[in-house]
This record gives sequence, structure tokens and C-alpha cells, in this order.
Amino acid sequence: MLSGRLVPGLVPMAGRVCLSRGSAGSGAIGPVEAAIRAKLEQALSPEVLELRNESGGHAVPPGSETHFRVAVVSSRFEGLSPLQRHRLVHAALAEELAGPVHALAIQARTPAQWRENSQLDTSPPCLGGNKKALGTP
Amino acid sequence: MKIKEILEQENIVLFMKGTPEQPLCGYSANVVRILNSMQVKDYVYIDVMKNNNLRAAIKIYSNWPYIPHLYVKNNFIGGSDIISDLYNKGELENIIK
Repeated sequence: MLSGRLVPGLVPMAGRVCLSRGSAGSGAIGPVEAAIRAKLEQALSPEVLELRNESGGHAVPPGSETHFRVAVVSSRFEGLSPLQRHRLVHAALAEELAGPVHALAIQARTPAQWRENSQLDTSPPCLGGNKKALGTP
Repeated sequence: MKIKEILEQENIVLFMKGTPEQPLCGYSANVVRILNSMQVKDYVYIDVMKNNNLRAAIKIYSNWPYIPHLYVKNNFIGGSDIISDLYNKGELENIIK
């Protein structure tokens, strides 16, 4: 927390909440997760950014960074439809989505919406994906 | 049949992983469950797991990076999150009927 006079040019950090639950199995934050966080912070200046690596709940190897859930609260979402909001997130994460990330569950709220309801959504259970399609038991 | 043709001919189209009877992905299953609970019977599904080219093509066509994709009257409505949201708010009914 800054005390004394506000230094011109510095953005106040008070009130921002950034939570991350770590990656599948290892407990550490992987490079993809770190990149997602950094890019969303840059693109959306979120008030709240809750990012969870959910790869551990899917048919992928331990330590994977393929499935994520993100809750973003940002005034940049004002006036945007849900599709537009999600596409804003996609644009910030184009590289990751073209690469390792197979699924990204998004909760995109304006600050006013978040104050009304700050409940985080949860993801449905994995049903096997292409592991199941290939017939592996 | 091309994506464009299917979307022009069919009212409700769901691009998903697996089938409505046996979805291969929780997000796809979520949309199927929502359609079922709304008693929507007349929709067409396409299992993108059967065809990698189609799977890649629909992501470009919809400008949406992951499956499922739901179309109503040739309009892309969204993926699992957005469909859930619309359904919970009672807005999905108006879009589909």
C-alpha cells in the first residue's frame, strides 16, 4: 500500500484481487498460466481476476496447461454483449488458444454485475474427450 | 456438406464432441442437457471428433476457439458458458423458439 502523497503516473493497486490456484498436480504456476494472467491484466485491467488451471480434471497428463477457467471483472466489458466480452478475452489470449489451451471457461462481468453476484461458476465434469473416442477404457 | 449449407438449412445446429447420447466432453454435455431440459428435439448435431478438418474449420468459421458451438437460425449463439448464462437468465427460450 502506498502512503503519503500519490505519485503522479502510478496506478493505485488498492482493491485489485488476483487469485490463482496453481496448475494440475504440481502446485506451481506454469508458464501458460502466467502468460494468461499477464495478458489479461494488460488487456483488461481487471478489478478481479480469478484464474484456475483445470487440466487436472481432464484426460490429459499431469502438469498440463490445457484447460482453464477464468473469472474477469472489468469495466472494459461495459456495454458489450457476452459474445463480445468473450471475444475480447480470446483476442488477448490468441497465442495460447491457438496453442496449448483447448478449453477456456469464461465468466466476464462488469464491476456492477460482480457486486450483485460474486459467485464463481464451476466447470462440468470431464467425459474423456478423445481418450474415450479412441476406445481406451 | 459444407458448414455454410448446414447452417442455412437447419434451424438449430450444435457442433459438439461426441453425440447427444454419449458426449465426449463436459462442456458439450452441458449444452445437450440444456437443450433437453428445454425439450428441444429438432436440432442437428455434428460430432467434430469424427473429422479433424471439420473441427478446425468450425473454429475458424465461428471465430470461436473451442467446442461446443450452438447456432440458431444461422446465428452463432455461443459456447457452453454463454448458453448456460442465457438459459439461467431465461433468455435462451426466446432465442430458440
